[in-house]
Amino acid sequence: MALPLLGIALGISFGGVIRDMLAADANDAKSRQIYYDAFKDVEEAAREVRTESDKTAQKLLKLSKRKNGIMNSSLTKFVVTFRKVAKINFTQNDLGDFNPQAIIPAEINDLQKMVNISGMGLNDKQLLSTFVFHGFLKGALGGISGIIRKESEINLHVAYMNSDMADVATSNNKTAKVAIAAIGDSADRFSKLLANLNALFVRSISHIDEFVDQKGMDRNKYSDENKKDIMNCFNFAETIKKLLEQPLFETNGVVSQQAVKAMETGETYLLELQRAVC
Amino acid sequence: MMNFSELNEDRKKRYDRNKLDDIIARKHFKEDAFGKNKTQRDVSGNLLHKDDQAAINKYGAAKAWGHRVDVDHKVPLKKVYERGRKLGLSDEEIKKIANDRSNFRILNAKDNRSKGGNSDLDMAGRFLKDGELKKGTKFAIDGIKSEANMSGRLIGFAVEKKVEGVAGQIPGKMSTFSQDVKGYASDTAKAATIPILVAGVHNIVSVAHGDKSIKEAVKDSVVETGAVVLDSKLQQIGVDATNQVLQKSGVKLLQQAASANVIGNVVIIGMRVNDSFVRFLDGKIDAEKFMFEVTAQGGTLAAETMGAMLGQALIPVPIAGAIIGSMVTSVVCGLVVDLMRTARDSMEFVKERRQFIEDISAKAKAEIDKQRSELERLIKENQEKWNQCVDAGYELIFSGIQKNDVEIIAKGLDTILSQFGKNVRYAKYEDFNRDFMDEDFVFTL
Repeated sequence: MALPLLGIALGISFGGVIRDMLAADANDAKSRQIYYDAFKDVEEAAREVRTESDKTAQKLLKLSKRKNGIMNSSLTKFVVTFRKVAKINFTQNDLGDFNPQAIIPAEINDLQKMVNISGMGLNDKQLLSTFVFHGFLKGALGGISGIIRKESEINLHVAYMNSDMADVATSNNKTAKVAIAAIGDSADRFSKLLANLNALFVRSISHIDEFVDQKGMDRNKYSDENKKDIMNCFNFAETIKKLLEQPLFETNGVVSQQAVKAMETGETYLLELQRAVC
Repeated sequence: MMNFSELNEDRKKRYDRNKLDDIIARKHFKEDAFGKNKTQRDVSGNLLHKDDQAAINKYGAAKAWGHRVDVDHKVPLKKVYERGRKLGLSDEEIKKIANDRSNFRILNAKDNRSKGGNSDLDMAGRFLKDGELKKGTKFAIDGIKSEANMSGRLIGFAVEKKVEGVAGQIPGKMSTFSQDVKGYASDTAKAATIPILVAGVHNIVSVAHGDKSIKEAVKDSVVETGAVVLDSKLQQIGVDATNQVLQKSGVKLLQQAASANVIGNVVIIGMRVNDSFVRFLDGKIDAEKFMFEVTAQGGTLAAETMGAMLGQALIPVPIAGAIIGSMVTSVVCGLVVDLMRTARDSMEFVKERRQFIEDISAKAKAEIDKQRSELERLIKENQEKWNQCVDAGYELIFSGIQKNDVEIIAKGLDTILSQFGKNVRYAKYEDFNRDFMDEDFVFTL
């Protein structure tokens, strides 16, 4: 008598088991899709940041070469020529290390953090489900279909949480991209400006070099026209040197400060979110 | 014939309610229970009047019994006395434990006097039999809790005096086993509850040996194991202990029961109560209903499955099956309830966290977007300023070149530098000429 009863009981249970397992499968499929979409978005945003970062690095390299070229050729030649007619104290200041990380190291590092934080969600999910269902009798009660369904529901919630966090990380990546692009754009503009001014400067140096060689240190030999040319050349030299020493963005400038503020805002929220799921 | 001294000793050992009851403590409890209120509801759901006369005035003398207040010992004094004596406690010690506030509650005089020396579980059985499910369930839950509490307090008290004394109450080979099991538990509380479980299992052994009636054993097993499994930390120890005691019992039937894998039944019962579990998690039934369903479904199936398994080997199976079934059910209830609580807490935790993360994420995205927009605005502004300065500077420079006017060129360079807050040193020719003609002047670049 007992065995048939057991069979009926198990039969009834199996109906529920199938229902639970189907629901669990649907939840799991949805969770996977959410994860896929979220990480696709994050990865796409991160890829765009990497591409922008590479482009900016190339622009900064180009600017760095140009600055060094001007410093070592035009400015050096000017100093040599100018010393033929007057005393000049020339100090070569640091032109700076022109790579993106030197300019916004924290922000660039944050990009890596963001990707890591996004990835940590998965671990949290695993930890959470482990915490919930493997406390005791794992493998025994853990096999109950209703609990599997509940676990899948929890996983779905966790997937949504990760999706939300991924959205935040993606949004922050967009900010990083904007900041990095601005640096690249600024480097481009500096390069062009320096190239244009240097072209005029080179011509000016060549021009004064012709008469300075002849007239030497006796300044009374120099006409007003000569002296105006020397003044013009000096002004170009001074302007170019100041531009060489000028950072792309002032550290305390509004753009730099806003870039840091924007990135820190994202980082703060991401860390808060990270703490929330731990 | 006993002599005077022996008679006196015997009298001292006998249960004397007047000696154990603490009327003052009960009176204080009643005062505290009502506080400033004139009425309160009891576990039966009856409205109690603090003042007996008020109940009589309102309901009449006969019906007032259901509304007059008694302060009830949840675990009856006599039961506390009997258990305390077994544990070697003195009357004073028993009195202290029996009259602890945790063992008091207000109850209508009718139910209290009907209860007499019976326990809540006895009352629960009576109510459930009469179809009073809600009332029965309340008494059952209260009963298990108060039994667990009282057992813990009695044995805890005894253990504090001497743990070995408790183990000694369990005869023969059980004593050795209880010592072994105690090795699992590190603190006094855990050590105190293990012997209860072992004693509970011992009831089964007692039945098999013919030392105890089946009715007594079933009742004792449920109460005693119920007390143990309420402590979730001891559940796994309880399961292990159950199997081991059965194995060590020396009774073939019980050894086979252990071999049949009691844990396996836990899984089957778990599947059976799964629907109740899920409905509870979904908030469709409350805790009381859940407990009732689990007990009913789990208990039936436990008896059936154990009976089926054991029935293949030995005859008095339904009896042992029922006893073991009641034990397994107790264990399962404890396990499932604990799992349920963990899962429910986790589900609520996850839902709460999801809401929190949703809120924070929305706020974060809005704030990050706002900050990015501001950054883009400033970058654009910076670019425009750059373009304006540079274009204006170029214009002046080329104009100066065309006009051969160094001051216009200087002004052009100055315009370019102005966006960085800098200027050319020689905007005027006369300034340059003055320094140039000074032989001691040192230009700085």
